[in-house]
Amino acid sequence: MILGEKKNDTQLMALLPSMKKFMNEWQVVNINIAENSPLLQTEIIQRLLQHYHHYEGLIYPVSPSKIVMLARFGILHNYAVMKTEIEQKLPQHCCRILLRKLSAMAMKQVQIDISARDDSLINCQNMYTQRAMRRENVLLVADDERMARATMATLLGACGTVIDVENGTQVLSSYVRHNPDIVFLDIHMPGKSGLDLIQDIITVDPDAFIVVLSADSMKDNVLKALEDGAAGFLSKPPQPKKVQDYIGQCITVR
Amino acid sequence: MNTALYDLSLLAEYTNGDADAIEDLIGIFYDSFDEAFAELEGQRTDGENDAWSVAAHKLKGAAGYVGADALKHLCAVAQDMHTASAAARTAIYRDIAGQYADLRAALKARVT
Repeated sequence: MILGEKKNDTQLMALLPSMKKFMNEWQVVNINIAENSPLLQTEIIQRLLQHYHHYEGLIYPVSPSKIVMLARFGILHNYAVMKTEIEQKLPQHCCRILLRKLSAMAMKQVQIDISARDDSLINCQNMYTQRAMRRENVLLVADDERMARATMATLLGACGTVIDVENGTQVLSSYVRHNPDIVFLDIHMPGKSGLDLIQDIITVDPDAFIVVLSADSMKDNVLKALEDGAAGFLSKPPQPKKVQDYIGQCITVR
Repeated sequence: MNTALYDLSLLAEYTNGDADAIEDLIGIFYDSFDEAFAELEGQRTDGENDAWSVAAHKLKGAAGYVGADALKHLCAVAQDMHTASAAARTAIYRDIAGQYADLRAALKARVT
């Protein structure tokens, strides 16, 4: 594992042959830090380098509050377990981690991160930054079942503004328009499956906090959701405490 | 499996025990169930039928929110009948109808 620098993509280029040959074994870890702290960022990077030094990959800071680790962890069977393991190696109560398989879109994002100029990053208000700076909480519930939308709206109403959509074709446009802190996403919806929407959302927002909410909790669906970048999975009807737990994990929710 | 016809404890948790809010959600349950049940009725065909399973899935989901385990179980059985005869589908449709009628009667009879 090596420490990368912005405006230096030679280290990334050196890893490309391995990524192309072993694509299924590479993962992207997004670490969003709750505060802009160079000291904390340095500590996190040092811990990651120490704990994962024997893995092939690259760690680089994107901004004072975000680090990306590109790692060849191998073929994972439970991304939730790996995510928890990484969280345990970091300073407590300061980060939110998203772990997912490397995809072509994620690779593109990594290349943009590394080659982007500092001034473009300063001027670029990405969706995560906008959420972090926003005062209100916004939660998106995407489910074609009226009972699911109504109960989630009741449960989440005290937390912030709840936006709901009932068709899969409306989800992405609603996500881009409202930039929610969390999206609760059903699997089976008309128009487009929630599982397919995970990648669509992460393509426009790599830091999206997605919780899949479904009565269909087959193991394959759960694993696919987590591999593609969902932060979690809830079986319907969800237990209120578990919903609140996910809300608590979302750094941008006040 | 809980043998009681319903269990509103989850709705009570969602609403912090607000009786009016619970009644509102029960009303939405009735609307949701009725709509999906009408879909199920129209899909009692022979052979493969994904629309039948989709409707049953919606019924199963709705039943879960009011703790109607027996009804939910019946809907789950129906959901798994991707390929079935019209007669088999009609039989379970009638079972669901009976269980739903009992549920509605029990919900109406409870003291709020």
